[in-house]
Amino acid sequence: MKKRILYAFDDLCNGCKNCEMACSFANSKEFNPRKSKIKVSRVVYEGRNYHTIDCDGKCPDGSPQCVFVCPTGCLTYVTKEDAAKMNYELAMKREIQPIFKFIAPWKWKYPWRPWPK
Amino acid sequence: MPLGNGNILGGHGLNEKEIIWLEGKVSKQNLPKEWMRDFIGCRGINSKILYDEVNPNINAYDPQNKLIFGTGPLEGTPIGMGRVSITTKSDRGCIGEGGFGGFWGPELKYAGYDHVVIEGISKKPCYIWIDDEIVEIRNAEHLWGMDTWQTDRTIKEEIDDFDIQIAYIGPAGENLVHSSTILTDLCRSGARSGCGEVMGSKKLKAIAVRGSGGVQVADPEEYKKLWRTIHSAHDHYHTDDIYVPIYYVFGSCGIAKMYNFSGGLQTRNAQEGEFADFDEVSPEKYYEKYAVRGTACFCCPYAAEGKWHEVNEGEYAGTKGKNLWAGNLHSFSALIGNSNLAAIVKLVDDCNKLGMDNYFIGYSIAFAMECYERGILTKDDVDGLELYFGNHNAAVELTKKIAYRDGFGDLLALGVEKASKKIGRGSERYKLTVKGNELEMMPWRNLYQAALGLATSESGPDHTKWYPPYPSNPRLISPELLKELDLDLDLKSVFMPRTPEGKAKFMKFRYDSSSFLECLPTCIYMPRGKLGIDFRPWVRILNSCTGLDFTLKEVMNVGARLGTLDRAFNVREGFRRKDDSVPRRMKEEPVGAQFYGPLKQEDFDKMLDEYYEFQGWDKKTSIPTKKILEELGLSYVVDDLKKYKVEVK
Repeated sequence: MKKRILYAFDDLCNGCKNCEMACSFANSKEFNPRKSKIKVSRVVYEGRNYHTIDCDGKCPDGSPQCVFVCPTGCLTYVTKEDAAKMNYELAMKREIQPIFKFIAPWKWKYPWRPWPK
Repeated sequence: MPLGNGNILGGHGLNEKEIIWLEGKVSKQNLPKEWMRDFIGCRGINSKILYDEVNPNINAYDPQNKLIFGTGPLEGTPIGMGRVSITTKSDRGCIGEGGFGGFWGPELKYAGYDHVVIEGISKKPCYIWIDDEIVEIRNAEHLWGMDTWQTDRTIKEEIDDFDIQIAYIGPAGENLVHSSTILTDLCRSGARSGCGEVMGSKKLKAIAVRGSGGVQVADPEEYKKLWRTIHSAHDHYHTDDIYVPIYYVFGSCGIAKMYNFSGGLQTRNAQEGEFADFDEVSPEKYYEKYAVRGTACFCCPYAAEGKWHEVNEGEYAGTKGKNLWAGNLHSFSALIGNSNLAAIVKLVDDCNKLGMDNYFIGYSIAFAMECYERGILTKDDVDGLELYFGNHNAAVELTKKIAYRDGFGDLLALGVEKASKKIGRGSERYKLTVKGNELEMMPWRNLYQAALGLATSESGPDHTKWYPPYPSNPRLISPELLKELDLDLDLKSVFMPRTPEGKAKFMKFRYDSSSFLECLPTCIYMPRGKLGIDFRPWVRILNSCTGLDFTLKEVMNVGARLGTLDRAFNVREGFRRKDDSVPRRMKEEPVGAQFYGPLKQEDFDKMLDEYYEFQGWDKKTSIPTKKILEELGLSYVVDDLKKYKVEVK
């Protein structure tokens, strides 16, 4: 199997810090952002969020917990090649459906079920 | 740097049970352990401190009035959602309680404090810097007059840390404008209670916090399981709850559309129930045109409950900010008849920068517009503004005037209730206020349970004390669930929106369970999705967090205790049944194309009678009875009320 990496699509991040909490909880059984291997920098005046990751994806709880709790699909655990492809896919899908400005197309199978009117 | 005779109070740490009062200028103190059992934390302990220490002889701007920030046992963990409760005595005399999410609460918890109590009045403008054990009161003369964004940036540069969290007021709070807010994270505001003006009256501009600690839970395995339960309950893909997908994608502003569709969006100062131009300002338009990225509070399971927006064209080009809520969308579109979406975004951002409550601005502008259209106010009265419904330029202008108390704005800054008294000439007919505070988005005439909730909530009309007023999907509530919640309800009558039957009992349940959730604290929008109204997972979360053994009955009692204590505070201040009132318009005028008649007084009285009965309060006066006070372990309140010549039966 090819080596997978933790990759963050920063443009999809809403800055909720679920990943920081999941990481510190998995590694130290404590909720403490300073013990997290992932750090979200919130540039509040621009509404942008950036990730700094220092992790090889080997989580004490098995699969990376940060990816599991990410509500937007911004954090992924994929191969380098897949990540590059997903970046392209994201840009293309955004042209068709503005929903992908906020939620990753790979988070849920699209199209979603019928919308309540 | 004295803050008058200021006191700052810290609360119980989760594990170490270390309780800290800051004494003298700044004192740290432990909270009594039994308070944890009786009030859990956050809003509960805030109310307890307020009741015990603020007596009715002082007004809101008195040095002895207290401004209390509270976090609770779940704060700093993901389920806490960063909620903070702010409690004070408001300028209207009643209890003022508002809360914000964001990241300030967890940071305070990581610094080792649960509650911060501020009293006294500073001689010069100041701000408080809390860095773990170090608590300083710093000079803020250079910050005075700055808007919230500048304040945030300046303090961060001063401390040289981009990651600290700050709660601040804007110019409106400094100028003691009615119902001004305390904000954090630029746009999260503790509103609807007037805590901003109390903070302004204390000459306190901001509280900056940095914490380097962490929070441990008693049972990590159980906690993790429950964290997953809550995440999967809000999985919009598999849920039965129609609110969840709307929240997940559009954020709360999607809800405004539902209200408009059902004829419950109060339009043009609530003269109508549907806004014909709503398609121009619909959440979909906002989402396509201006929304750029998602934003969220601390550990929110919703992907995009708020949005970062940018306006790049037209007369409001250059506006950027975040979070257009349902209430914002309603109060700046339908309520003032405005169908320009960019103007709504501009108004929201102005309110956030100036530190004002959106509902207050919406209702006061709508009130002024109606008075202007009916000829009660002339052009000279309103400084030459063309205040007809739909004129968004005038609305933007007037918002600034209110914040800086300039000209006509000075009058409106008193709040609609006082302003209408000053204007006279029959303008009282068009004010929409309860307990001196403006209304909000929830409809009165076609949702009776909402009317009951808005009229009875202790700090003026506030839906967050009991939301949602009905379970969003009937299928989510099975008879077994009701049995387990020990709730004897006729579901059919609860779902009928325009009958008085069965509403009181359900609202009592909503009040108690919401109060419990706010004591944890957690976001009250969480028992949703697959959970329906089922909040039992939170009882287990509380137990797994603290290692205590709360039962369902006990936590419902905590909710009831908090409701009754808040009521007792208001009763001591002179509030009675007559203050749980319906605005004139809702009782006399019908609404909407589908023709909803007015809310009949006898129907409302029936609901209110039943509600007081379930709460155990006296029907005539709404004073809590001796029996219920003793049952809830509040017997000291009986003696206290007697001291202030309140007749407790």
